[in-house]
Order: sequence, then C-alpha cells, then structure tokens
Amino acid sequence: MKNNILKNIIKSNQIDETLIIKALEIQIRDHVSLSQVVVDNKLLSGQDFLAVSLSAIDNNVELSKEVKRLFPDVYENAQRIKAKGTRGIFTILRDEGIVSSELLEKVIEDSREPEISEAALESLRELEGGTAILESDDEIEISEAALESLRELEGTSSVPEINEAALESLRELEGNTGLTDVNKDEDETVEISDAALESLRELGGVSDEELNALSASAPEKIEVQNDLLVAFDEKRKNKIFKILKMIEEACQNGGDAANYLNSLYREVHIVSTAAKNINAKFLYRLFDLWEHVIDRLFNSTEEKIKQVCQNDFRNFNSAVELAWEIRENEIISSEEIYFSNDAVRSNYLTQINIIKKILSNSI
Amino acid sequence: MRIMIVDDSKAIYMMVSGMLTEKGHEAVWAEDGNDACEKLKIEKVDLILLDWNMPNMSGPEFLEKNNSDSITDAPIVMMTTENKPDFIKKALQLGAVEYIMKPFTSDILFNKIELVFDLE
Repeated sequence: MKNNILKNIIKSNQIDETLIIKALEIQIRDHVSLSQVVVDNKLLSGQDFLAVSLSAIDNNVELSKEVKRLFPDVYENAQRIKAKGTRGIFTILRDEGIVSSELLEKVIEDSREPEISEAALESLRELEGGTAILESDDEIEISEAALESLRELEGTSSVPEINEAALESLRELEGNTGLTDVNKDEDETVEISDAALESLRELGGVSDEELNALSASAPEKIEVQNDLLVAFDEKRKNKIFKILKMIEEACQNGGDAANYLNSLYREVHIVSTAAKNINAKFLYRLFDLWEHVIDRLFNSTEEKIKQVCQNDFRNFNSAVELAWEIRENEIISSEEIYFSNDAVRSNYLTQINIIKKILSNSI
Repeated sequence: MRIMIVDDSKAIYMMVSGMLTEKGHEAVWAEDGNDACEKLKIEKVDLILLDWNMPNMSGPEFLEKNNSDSITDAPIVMMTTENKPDFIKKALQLGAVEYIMKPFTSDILFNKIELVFDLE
C-alpha cells in the first residue's frame, strides 16, 4: 500500500524521484535480518541458539525459519523488535533531512485516496511518532543493553547450598526415625515464661493485674496458630495446586518447567516457615522435605527436572492434601493427638518415604 | 492492565513490552529503581515487573524503599536470572509476590501474572 503512495508521489512530481531512490537505498542498508535481531537481543540462550543453528544446517533452511519452527514465541518477539527498529521510507526521508516534515505530511495528505487511506494514515502516524520509531542512538543503546543482558544471562549458578533444616531432615531420614523438635529454643522461651508466671502466682509476689499483663505479653499459642492459618489458607493451597498443574503442562508441552519451581518453592517455604513458627513439626517436616527436593532441582539439568516433575510431583498433590488435613487439625487439637491415629501416621510416613526415595534416587 | 517494567536493559523492556501489548496491556518503562520511584509519583500501575540487578537502585533496594516509603501498592514480580532459594527467599521477605526467571516466554509471563491476580 505504501508503494501506491510512493507511486502517486513520484507520478505527481511532489518529491524528486532521485530523493526517493536515495531513501530506498538507505532503507536497504539499514535492513537487519531477523536472525540478527535474535542474536543482538539475546532472545535465545547460548544452548538454544546452538541447537537452532545446527538444526538449520541439518534441514538446509534459513536460521530464522528454524527459530520460527522451534521457538515461535522468540520468533514473534524478534518480529516485533525488528518491526519497531525498522524505519519506514517516510521516516528515512524525514530523518535524513531529504525532505522536510511539512512537505512530507502535505504530500501524504494529498496522495490520500479511498483505497490507500489506511496506508497514508499509517504513514502519518509513523511521522507523528504514534508507532515506536527507533532513533539511531536508541539502536546503539539496545546493543549495549543486549550485551548487558548477555552478561547477566551468562551468570553461572553457584554450588548448591543445603540449609540446616534440610540437613536435619536428611539426618533424620538416614538414621533417627523419631521426629525432633524443630523449634527447641522458642519452645523453651515459652515454657520459661509460663513457668515463671506460675511461680509468681504461687509466690504471690505480684498482683493479679500485673500477672494478667505478664500473661498478655507471653506468646499465645492461638495467635501463632493463626499465623499458620493465614499463611496456609485455601488460596495458598489452590495456588500450590495451580503451580503443580502449570509444571505438569510445561513438562508435557516442552515448556520451561524450571521457571515454575521458583513459584512452588516460594509457596512451600511460606507454609514450612509458618509451620516451624508454631512448632507444627510434622507439617513443617513434610514441607521442609519438599522444599529440599525443589532446592535440589534448581541445580539439576532440564531433563532431570522434567523427569522428577513428571514422575514424582503427583505425590506432591497428596502431600499438600495431607498437609491440609494436618493444618485443619491444628485448629481443633494438636498434631500429637492427630498423629496418634495409626492410619494418619501410616499415611504420613508413606509420604516421608516417597520424598526420601525421590531424594535418594532421582536427584 | 498497566504494567511497569523496571529493567536497565532496553532489550528486555522491548521484549516484555511486546508480550504485554500483544495481549492488550500497556507497558511503562523505568530504567532502574530510582526511575521507578520517580515515575510512580505520577503514574499508577497495576503490576510491576522488577529486575534484580540494576545501576543506581537495584530491585531489592527498590523493595526496601517501598517497604519504608510506601511508593506503590501494586504487586511486584521479581525478574532475575537466578533460580536459587536464597534469592527467592529474599524476594519473598522483601515483599515481592512472585518470581520469574529470565529469559521467559510469553506463556510463563502470563501464567505468573495469573498466579498473582487470581490467587493473591
């Protein structure tokens, strides 16, 4: 359609033909290939770029075609960036000082015909800055930014760190079958406070008002239980299920499952921390172990991540259901009472054994 | 939605804004935490995608400033190349509601946005 405008402009001698030829030559020299956009903007990781390049050679096709086939999202992004970075013929005429803006607007306006009005409008919008037009300085900036991103993207991951709680969980799985107190120091503090209050009552050294004030300042179990109820509510439970589903779909569709592990880790960590804070040791241990599984996966290969997610993450759903039951029980009684039930204990130990197996076999 | 992308890389901004505008969202660019603070004084956004490493004011520094000065109440998604527990925990502790590892596809971006708005 723009060619029609150009034809009209040339035909009417509004702009000298040689000037149009000059602008067309600049446009061709400015031309950047889609593959160059992909590389300059680091739209593919080094490994993916290598894979696409090798595939293009194997199939004897252009690199951009392989990008389109293997990474349609990247291809679309590259198209967008390319479109934004490509100057139209009228922009070149204006930017290069070949023709004044006033004259350009006039000739485009004059060349408006019903069948070309949209193209002319587009050209006008382009000249008015309605679409993103990159100045030459911007292009240099993009290159620097792309380099910066490249440096950023090439950052290597460090040696995996295993947190103290996870180590404790592993020690327990390796030897001790009994579940240890996870928050011993905090328990002692509460006990001392309660004991001190009791002693003060017995001694009669303080008034009832002062005792009440002291009681109020002591940590109350109901309050801390609320922390767990708030942290592990229906929304969070559903969010965990939703993330697990996204991971499953990513595995099935060849997507980036690892990019959902961070969301899962975040949610699991919130629940495990809340469980730890109220000394819900069974719930804490269950989520802490899953946290440790995800922690290990962060340092695994893409293939290994998919393998574990596809084969073992269905157990995560059961673990969340079990954790929800434990959480519900926290409201009405205590973990100890809940776990005095053989079936509950058996289910819990099955879950723990599954995680133990995942940790020892898969990762 | 009006979504602010805080990233010193214009390439990242262009890539992410392309994904957003394609789905009908509006993208606003801030080059670093300082720029974001300035722009948020006059602009209201529905979501912030925040890079970790930036000159002048990094992502975590921006989160800290937001915690002390209440710059915005928009949910903040941390964008970084690090998929590591320490980073995820720090982002969580500082108030980021989601975490996304760069580079990411359009599918992942919108799934993360869904997690923020459907369930937070």
